[in-house]
Amino acid sequence: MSFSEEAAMWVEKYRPQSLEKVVDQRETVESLKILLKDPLTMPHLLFSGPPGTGKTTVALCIARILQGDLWRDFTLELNASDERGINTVRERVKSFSRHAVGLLGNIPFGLIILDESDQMTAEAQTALRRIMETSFRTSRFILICNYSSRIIEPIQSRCALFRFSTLKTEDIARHLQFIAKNEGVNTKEEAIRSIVDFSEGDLRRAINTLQAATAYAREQPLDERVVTKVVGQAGPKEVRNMIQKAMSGQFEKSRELLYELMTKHGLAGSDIIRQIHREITRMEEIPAKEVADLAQIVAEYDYRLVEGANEDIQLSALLAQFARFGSPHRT
Amino acid sequence: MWTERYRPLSIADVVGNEQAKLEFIIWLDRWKIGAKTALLHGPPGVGKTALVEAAARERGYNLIEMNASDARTEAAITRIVGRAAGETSLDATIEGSERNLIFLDEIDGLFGREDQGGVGAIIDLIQRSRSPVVLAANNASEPKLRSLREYCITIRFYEIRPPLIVALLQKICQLEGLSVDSDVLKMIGRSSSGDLRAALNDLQRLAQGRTVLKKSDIPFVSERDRNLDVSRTLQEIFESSDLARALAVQRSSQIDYETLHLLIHDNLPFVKRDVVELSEAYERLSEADVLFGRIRGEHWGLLGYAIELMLSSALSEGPRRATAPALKLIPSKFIRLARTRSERELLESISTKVGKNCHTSRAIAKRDILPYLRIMLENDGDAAEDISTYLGLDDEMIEYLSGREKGPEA
Repeated sequence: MSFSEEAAMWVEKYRPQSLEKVVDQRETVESLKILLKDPLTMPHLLFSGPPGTGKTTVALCIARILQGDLWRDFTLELNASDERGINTVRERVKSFSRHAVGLLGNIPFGLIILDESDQMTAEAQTALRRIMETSFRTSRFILICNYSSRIIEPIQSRCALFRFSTLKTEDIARHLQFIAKNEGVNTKEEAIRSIVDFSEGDLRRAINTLQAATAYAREQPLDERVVTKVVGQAGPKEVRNMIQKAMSGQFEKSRELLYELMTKHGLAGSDIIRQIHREITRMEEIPAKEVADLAQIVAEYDYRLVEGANEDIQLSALLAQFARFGSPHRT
Repeated sequence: MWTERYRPLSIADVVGNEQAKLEFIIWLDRWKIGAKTALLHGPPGVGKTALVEAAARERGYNLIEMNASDARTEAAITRIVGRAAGETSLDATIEGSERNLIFLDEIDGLFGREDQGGVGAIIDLIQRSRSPVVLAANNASEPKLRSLREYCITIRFYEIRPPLIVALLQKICQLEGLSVDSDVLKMIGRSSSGDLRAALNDLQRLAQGRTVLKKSDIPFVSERDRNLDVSRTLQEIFESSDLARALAVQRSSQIDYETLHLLIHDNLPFVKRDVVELSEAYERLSEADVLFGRIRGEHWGLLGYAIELMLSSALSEGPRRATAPALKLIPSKFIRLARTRSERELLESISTKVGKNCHTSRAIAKRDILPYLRIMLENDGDAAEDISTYLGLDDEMIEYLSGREKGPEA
């Protein structure tokens, strides 16, 4: 296996550089290979699937196949959640395709990898659709998203859709073992297993956990205990603490913790609400039959968060509902 | 509506602001393609819109008007006005000598945070327009309007002086066959804070169904007091037991509804000590927020409901408390953002670097990579250095990531 030796982050160092090395996703990779046989006829591509399943990796592999060593010059990586609206995307794509026209040579076209494209509003996607059409001569798009249903129909119908499925646990385990061996890490079988359990099919999270755990263990063998520690530290402790405070009626303290999550960790409201959801299923003090009721509250406020204008208010309102739920005189 | 019935038909009928009127007319009469646009700014109800409408009528322009209660996206501006801007020559040849005057009213309310392109669209419009463009705003120093200013001459409107307001009210009373104490008119003039429209509305409301209006007929609440400050606004709203009263307070408050929304949120737990009450109040506040979200520069019809829901969350149910709690008067969000600015900027630049190197967005870097990166940097000297070099982190960033969370646990 070839890897970028200079990369100190293992997620990058062990990111596969050719389609053959991609973990899982056999079917997707095979049909992509067929498409790539005749690059000029390649349509725009739409990759959808959960995080850490190889969407970006495959997109970068395609860039290498189409553009060889020049891929860095002819591939534009954009993140919908980073760009300030569709105008930025339009501008960057425009200037990019201008350059691309003059320099093409053996390169069939410029490539624009637009990650998290399901974060774009429907209006922005409509504008994107226009851009995709007008720049088709010089550029191809690879749109990456978690949910293809959040991509408007007109774009879906202009793209070849590839679904990435959650990775199989044994494949993640094998990949982690390979990395551990290559890095000379003394890992126990159980440690790998617990990283795999925790990563929920997300290879990026699994590799990051392995690297963090290796750093944490230092010269000691990497065992299950270390993994548990690292996992606990990596998930913000404030989330569970915040839920506990709310449910024991200490609303103001709980709201303070919420603010801390937003500023110190810079987390978006949608991330916080997802972590709340994960925590309530894991907290032992919450009886199983109440988890469903709480989840219902979380779902309601997740929806309001998307629709609403102010994250502070929606998340505080959620905590107030938790406070009521936890109060002994619940009505 | 008297404000409609007595709308000035000619430039001369527009009350007050003689200097601004003159500047505007000179600008309009001298306007040619490529000239600057005019930005009229000043408090509400002093005649900005009235002047533009009267001038258009008097000088024979077809007025194309758009304000914040219309759709406000860039697309809408381009669609509604751009058509008129670019194609007047075509229209003119077909329909004769018709000239257009494009008027974008309330532009300081024009751009929600979603619409970064809005100002750009206006600039684009100004540059392409074959017709004069007039902009109006309450506050021309708004940061989001800054980039517009080089394309504009600004014309400042001031509050209308009470004697002018009273004189106009007197004239209208005559026309309506209404006998009104001069003291009453003075009171209306004074409490209007220079807002002619408000004064006219007040007079109409008070005179409804009467032919005579005496000082004794005037209820206390009719006095429009725009100077209810933050503290009094909040106190009165939290003390109101019915929505009508809270609405009256909100209307005469200085605070805009977005700030008020945040301040109710900040103060709720101090005012509603009972969990059930608190959660019900928050439920309404959250529903109000959903409506604010839907409004987002488009569905202005929902604003009334949103404000009512917001206020109803604050109403007091039980008897008055003996001691009023000390209320927070500045939204904690503003304070928090100001205090944590440098920290947030650092976090942003770290996530930008991590995102670039690991092919992810800043949001995912923050959520999925930084927590692990912290542990790596905290614990392993050699590898930590390699990682920092690889990601291009400077000393401040390394310190921030590795030093901060070093607790007794490690």
